[in-house]
Amino acid sequence: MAAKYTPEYTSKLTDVPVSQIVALAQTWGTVKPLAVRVGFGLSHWYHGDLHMQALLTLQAITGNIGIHGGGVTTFAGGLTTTAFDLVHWWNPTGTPYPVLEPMNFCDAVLKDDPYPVRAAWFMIDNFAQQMSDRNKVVRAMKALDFCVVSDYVLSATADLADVVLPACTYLEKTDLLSSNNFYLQYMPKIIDPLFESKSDLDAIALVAGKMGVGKYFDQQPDEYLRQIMHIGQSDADPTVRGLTWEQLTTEAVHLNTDPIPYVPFFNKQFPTKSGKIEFYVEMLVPFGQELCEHAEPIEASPSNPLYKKYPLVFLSTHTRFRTHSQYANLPWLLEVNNGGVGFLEINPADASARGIADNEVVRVFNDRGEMKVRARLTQAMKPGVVNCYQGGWDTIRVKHYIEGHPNNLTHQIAKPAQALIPNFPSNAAYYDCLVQVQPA
Amino acid sequence: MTSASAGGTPHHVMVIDTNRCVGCWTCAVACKEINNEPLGFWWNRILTTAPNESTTAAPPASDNIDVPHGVYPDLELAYLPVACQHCNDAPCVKVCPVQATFRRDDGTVLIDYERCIGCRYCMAACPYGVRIFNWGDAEYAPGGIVGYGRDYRTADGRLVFTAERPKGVVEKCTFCVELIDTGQEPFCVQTCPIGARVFGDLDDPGSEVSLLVNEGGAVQLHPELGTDPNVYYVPVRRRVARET
Repeated sequence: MAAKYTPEYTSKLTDVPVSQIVALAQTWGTVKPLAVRVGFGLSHWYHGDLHMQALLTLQAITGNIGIHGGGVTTFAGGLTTTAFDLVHWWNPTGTPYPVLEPMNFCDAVLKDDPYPVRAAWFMIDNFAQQMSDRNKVVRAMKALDFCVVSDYVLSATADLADVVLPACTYLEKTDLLSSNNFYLQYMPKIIDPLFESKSDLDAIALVAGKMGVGKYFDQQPDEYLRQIMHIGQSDADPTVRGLTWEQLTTEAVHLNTDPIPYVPFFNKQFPTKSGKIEFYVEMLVPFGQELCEHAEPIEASPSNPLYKKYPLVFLSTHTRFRTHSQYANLPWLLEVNNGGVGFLEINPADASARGIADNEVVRVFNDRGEMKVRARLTQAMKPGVVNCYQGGWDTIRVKHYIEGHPNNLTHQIAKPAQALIPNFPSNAAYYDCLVQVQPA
Repeated sequence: MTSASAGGTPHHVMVIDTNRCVGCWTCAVACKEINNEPLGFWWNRILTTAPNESTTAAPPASDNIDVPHGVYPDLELAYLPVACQHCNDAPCVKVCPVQATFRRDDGTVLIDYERCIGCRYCMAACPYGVRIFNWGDAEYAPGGIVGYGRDYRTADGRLVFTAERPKGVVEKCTFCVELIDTGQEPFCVQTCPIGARVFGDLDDPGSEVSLLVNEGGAVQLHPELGTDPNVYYVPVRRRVARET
């Protein structure tokens, strides 16, 4: 593999200068410890799994796994999952229930694949705005016999509902925050639910009661939190063993980690068949991926014949002035964020080749759909790449883009190899997308 | 932390490290919150500029934020948070016909809302464009008053903060006078997530601001105008050599 991926070949694949590749390799090979923090953008590609596999392999080769200051994590880290006994929480009767992943939803509704779905209840989610291939999503949602949406704003998903249930914000309901660091933070209800809103748990419990299964939803959040973490019980997960309710509700609790500071895989034991890190992965042989190699993006590649028709890579990245589609309606943040008016970042060379001036309305399109938005000329975009920040709204009342939405352009092409992960058919490859742009 | 040197009045300065500022606007939003600024009002704004080691500012590449200078891939980008510079020789103080705007002993430049007559000479005089005028009744979001929320007067009784400024007065950054007078730091300093802002006493040779101004190369904006601001900026130093 080293013979194939010379700096020169890699430079051709990546457009990164040879000297920088060599400098990076020298740093990576000599600096220790070296930690890798990965943003989620790297997984917004069809081969996002290869990106992560490559990083893990590189860190393993350089001896940066299982040492303090090493490792690979997403920007958020992750440890808390073992603290929660979710198996019993989600499945009190032991009956296996199917889990339908976002990638499979549309085909379930439209084609009964993998099984028919006729009704849906959306919560903690803005599926019709944030899922890729929005035209397909809207077709699927309109094909439902019955659709309920819980939200505290009238989102694009709520627009398509038969029934909208006013939901609580996190201030109006009790929950537990464990956002991928070593701390548990009890989040008590601070104010009573406003107007007629109800927490998702309360809404579910009420419906469950009418459906005759209310006995599984008859307790309060505090009691469920005790159960989920086995508080006060000797069979609590080691990370929360000995934790008292008093501690949990009065401080930000640090999980029991051993050693301290916690070092993942410090004992060099890995949950693989061999117990070791595997550079050669047997179960990926059917997918030709047993060794981690470069693979061209599924759509956004110059070697794709589609590239002749749609020669621009379409990114829809995350603006710092929203959290995806949340907080998109806040006046102050809208003031900072171009008055809430979406824009397409495009390199001036690409713009002038198309007769597009700064701030002019353009049409962005491919075979899946289109949108209209104002162009923002900027050298920050590499020629051949355009970007329209995701998370803006396209609802009946609020339009952050002149017409349409970035997810009208994206797709739901699933990568079979990723289905090896339980309950995970595939990531959505938002960035692996080609478009053309012209004056509107 | 603010500290009076040898028990006397401190000389308050702020230093902003443009090597650290990433243009997140947290300080701007925090300022808007603590001061209950109306819709459309920003006492503190983050300008997009280019690293410039001698003068810390270059004309923007675009009217839009986040647009870098240069030509891809040789790009340059830096951010410059700008609010009242609290000048020691402030043009606004000189032109105010009713002495509503004044420089306090500690270097903070303030507006007495009970004296301001809304003539806006100060806005014409200020070379930094950091003052805002209440042309009409203020509109707010959310509905109620946020932030500090109450009146604050200097020792000699001047009203230098009120949660809802009346129509017809000018307003601007106050160095969070109500906070610094009780030993806290200005809210932008407290809330910057990356530690780009430092506040302290320039007359204390051991303070962090003194070190940054005297040895760290922190500079003022438009020093040639002779305004002698109490806000300093550490210019962008680190340049990554770009190879072709």
